[in-house]
Amino acid sequence: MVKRGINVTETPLVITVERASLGQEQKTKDYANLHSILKEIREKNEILGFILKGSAYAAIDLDHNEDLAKFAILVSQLANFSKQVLNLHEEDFVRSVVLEGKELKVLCLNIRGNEIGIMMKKSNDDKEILNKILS
Amino acid sequence: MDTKANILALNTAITEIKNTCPGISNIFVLDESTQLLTKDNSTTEEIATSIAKALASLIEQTVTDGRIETLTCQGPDRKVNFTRCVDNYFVTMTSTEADEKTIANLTRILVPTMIKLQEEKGSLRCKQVPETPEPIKTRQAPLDLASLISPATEFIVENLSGLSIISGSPDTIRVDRALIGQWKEMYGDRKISEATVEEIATGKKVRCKFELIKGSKLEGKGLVQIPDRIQSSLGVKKGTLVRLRPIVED
Repeated sequence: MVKRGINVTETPLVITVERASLGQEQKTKDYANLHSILKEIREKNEILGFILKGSAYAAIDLDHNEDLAKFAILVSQLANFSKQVLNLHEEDFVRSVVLEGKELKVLCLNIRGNEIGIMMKKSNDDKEILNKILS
Repeated sequence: MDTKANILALNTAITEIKNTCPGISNIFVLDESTQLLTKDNSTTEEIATSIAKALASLIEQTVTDGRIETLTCQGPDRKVNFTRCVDNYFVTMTSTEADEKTIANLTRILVPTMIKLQEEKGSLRCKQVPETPEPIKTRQAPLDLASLISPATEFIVENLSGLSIISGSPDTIRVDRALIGQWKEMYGDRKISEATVEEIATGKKVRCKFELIKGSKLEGKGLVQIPDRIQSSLGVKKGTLVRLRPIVED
């Protein structure tokens, strides 16, 4: 089996986009911290990819380039859907969303304004991954 | 299986799921096209419809093959779970402590079982007429013996209120024309003027008179109209599943 490296340059697709001017030190720190956690999870847990969208940056790291658009849309739709559904039950905040299909699983969460989407195989333990991110 | 029998099976399944997992506050079922099939009493039609619309939009926009096996949205205090089973979506609202995997597994075991049971019951009912044992003639205890051998049929409780209660007796339930026809077919000229209503979970029974449901709107939908007094003595409310058995007299 091919071992994935920690370095983002070793993964098939890595995009880092500057979305706004810097100056929000804490937010940048949070983003950087989450990015390194996600890279670590990607290596150790063999997830299929992740998307991280902060207030200033966004990063996408996926096994298959062709999934990029679909995955980005799915994460965004899941975030909207869960907000809508939980608001109906007077829950004003979404902790996490887990969607399972036939073979894949997607975990979405929002940490201090950083939107995260993780694509994994159905056999992966989403709770373990969630706990790693939240720890 | 026809829609009525299917909904009955789903109703039994959601009642059982809710009984088994006390953490579930609301439960309802949507079909493949996200139309509401059935719901528990604590779920309002408005909430179920809003969630159905949101799910339809999510499926349409993101999932090309329409296959969502499970979906869990977790808030600070509550979770909303969607579990796909037998081409339906089972939607549950639970506390965050409830384990969505247990609920999903339970759904996937209970629902096919209930549907299969309902199917078997349906096919048995078709064959039943010549094979049903004759009711044992007795003067002392017609109720008990009749309830042992009379075939039970499951129905969903509907309120008997408003103008209906004025025109009827508070001790009389209203049943489908088809059910009375079925009883007549089975017992011929034997007199059946009363029936027992049984709450499935507790086994509590009430003996009462029955008459035809008035108005075609409620006909053929698997409903039994029960006055408030009988509902409270059975401990049931609108939407609960009950069993009806005829009391066959000599």
